[in-house]
Amino acid sequence: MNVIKTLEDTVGFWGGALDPTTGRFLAGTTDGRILAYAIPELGEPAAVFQGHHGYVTGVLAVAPRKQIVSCGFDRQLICRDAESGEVSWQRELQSRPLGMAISADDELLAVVDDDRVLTIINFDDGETLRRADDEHPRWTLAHRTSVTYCVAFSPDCRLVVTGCRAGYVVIRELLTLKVVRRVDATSFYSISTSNSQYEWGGVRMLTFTPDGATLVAGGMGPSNQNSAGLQGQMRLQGIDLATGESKFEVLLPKQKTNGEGLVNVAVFHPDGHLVVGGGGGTQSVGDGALYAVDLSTPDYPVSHYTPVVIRACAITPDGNHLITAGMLKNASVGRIDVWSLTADE
Amino acid sequence: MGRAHPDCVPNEHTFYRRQFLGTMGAGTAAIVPNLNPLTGLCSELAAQQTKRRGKSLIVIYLGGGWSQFETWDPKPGQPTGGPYGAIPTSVPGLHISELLPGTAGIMHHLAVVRSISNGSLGGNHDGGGVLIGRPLDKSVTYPTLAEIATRVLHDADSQLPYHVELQTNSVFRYESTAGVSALGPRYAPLVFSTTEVPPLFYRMPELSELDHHDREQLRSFLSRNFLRRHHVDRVEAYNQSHARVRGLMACDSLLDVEQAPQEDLERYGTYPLARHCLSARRLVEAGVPVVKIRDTWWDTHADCFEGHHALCTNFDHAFSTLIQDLVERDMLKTTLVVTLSEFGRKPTIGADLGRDHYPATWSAVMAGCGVHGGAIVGRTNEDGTEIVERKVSPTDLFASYFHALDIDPEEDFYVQGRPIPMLEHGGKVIEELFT
Repeated sequence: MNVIKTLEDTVGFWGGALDPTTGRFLAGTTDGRILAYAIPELGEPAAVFQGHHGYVTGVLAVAPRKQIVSCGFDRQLICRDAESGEVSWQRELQSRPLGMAISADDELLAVVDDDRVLTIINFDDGETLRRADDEHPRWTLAHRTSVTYCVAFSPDCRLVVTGCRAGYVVIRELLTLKVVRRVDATSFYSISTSNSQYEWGGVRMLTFTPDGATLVAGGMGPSNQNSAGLQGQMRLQGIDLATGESKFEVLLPKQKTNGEGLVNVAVFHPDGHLVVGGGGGTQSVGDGALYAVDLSTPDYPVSHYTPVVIRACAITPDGNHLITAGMLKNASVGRIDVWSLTADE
Repeated sequence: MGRAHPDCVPNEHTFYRRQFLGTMGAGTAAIVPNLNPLTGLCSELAAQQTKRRGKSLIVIYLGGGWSQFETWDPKPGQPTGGPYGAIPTSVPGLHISELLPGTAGIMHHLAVVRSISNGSLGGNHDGGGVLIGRPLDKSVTYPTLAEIATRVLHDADSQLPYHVELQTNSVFRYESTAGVSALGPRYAPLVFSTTEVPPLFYRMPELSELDHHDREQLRSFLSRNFLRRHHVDRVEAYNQSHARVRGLMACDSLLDVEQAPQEDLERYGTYPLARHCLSARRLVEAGVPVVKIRDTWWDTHADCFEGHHALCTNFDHAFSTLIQDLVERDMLKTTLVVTLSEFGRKPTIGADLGRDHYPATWSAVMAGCGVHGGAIVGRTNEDGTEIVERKVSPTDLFASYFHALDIDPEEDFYVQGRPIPMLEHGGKVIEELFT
């Protein structure tokens, strides 16, 4: 696996997605823009979409609709044409959205925010269909306000799941938002009891396996008790949807700072077995890691050092390229890497 | 029944409680009816202390260093500004972080200083120096603001604690290892590391109120007799301590915040910082001159934004409720409320979304005791990296606190016979806060 193209910019990249319609990678920036880069060429942005004020926290591309949707700390949710950038609809949310997901049938958009609210939105017009705010605890173990970080739809569109800072995963029926199960995933949450009560972690990433049988959660394992930063191993956990029990746990191998920090993102390779993602952010260093786990043999994860804390990644539909985006050393320097997943590149 | 000295013959000094009480006569009887500590002594003490009270101090210490960008000096749109916006406040033209919406509504009661620099403290971070208003010195354990204020504001006759520290958790680094300051243990805080009153503040359940009272009379009688024959300072100090403990036990309802009226509990909220703010108001109202609330942990080297979202949300509600409550009770005129942190946080945002320590530029707010609500002191540049107007040192802050509390900055305290001024040389009152 080699990096074949790299681009650095004087702005940080928080979120991103591959747009199959245009073949571009859409990078959400810390200054409110979405930059569209041709893949694998990168180079100058093929398009720049404006409209947010402040950090863009999520970008999704909805291929059949030829639309993209983005959210940011400015509480705005903006849906626009993938080619022209013309805004289809725009709405303001009550709180700051931290995670988004689109249903497999491309009909529904789910958003979670820093008030622990799950909002299900009609993708046609941006109107709210349902809201739920009743199951994630308001407080963490340290009595600090919790937030919901991530949301995912099951492939069959029956379930919607959310994860929070306090370390819980809530599984709901999509139709009614009735709670099916609350899963204790507090292994993702660390609190220092010996050094000033730092708290770290939470459930930062959720994705379903393509067969829909397993929910994969990501974040950080137990943190170093004497740390002022993200000094725990990057961690994945497989959750059995039928029972809520843990099916597997992966602590990414650690070499110096490589493999430490948060798992921020994960995507499945088109083969359906390999989950690939990234994260990092160990204490004040800003190092990151790319990882790959074959879920048929989860005990043998692979991690790869990057100088970038990865916050977005995508695999091209042909499975040939992996794109990662994130922040290099500080939040004012972003970097995108295109990795070859084939042997001959 | 009293216990005999092991070297004496059995029964030689055995003392029978009922026999002793019989000798106490009418003096004792006069006290017995007032046995219920909740309704009697506490309310009387509270009334006395309220009458005597001049000024009070509430310090809200945000341990670890909070970010000026995410609180009092936001820089939205700048690369250093982070993701949060700024919102208008009740003071025209003054904007603060959107993480503090409740506080924005009461800013006309607060003064904000946006230009504090720890440069005069020397060294690197000097977190501890901010708490004492001068550089740290290995040879002297200088008193904190709270201890100095306790020495000046306390009522020696009070059976209430002089200085209470309420902590949101018991885990922390700096002050726990500082030891007793040069002012001595008398002004050190009575520390509560949870919102619950420790069990030792309550009478043991197997001890009746009458027995509890009898025991105190016995101890007091013996102690007075001993003192008449052998005047020893240590015994006198012990008696003072004992009286304080009795006072504390009598005020267990005051210290137990859960016994506050339901409407107060609901107004403030359930989390520790909120409960401590309510406790602070109750304690000051009852006559405790100094209360320090220690909220931790703001040291957000990573995840600064989510960390400040979590911590500011709690702070905003608790703090704005406290200020509003003090205003409604007409207590802000005589109560100085200050926020203190060791330093601010760096303009540069790490890839882990953290901000490191930044002693060069940070902010604090204060209210009450003549502090001009709505005052804005100092200014930083566009991206918050430098102070461009009215640099203020921690010693200047101390001078201003002293001014508000009528503490004489020229007064000395003594360490091994050497006079040491309460206020570090060079500290100047920030006049804009009082005009």
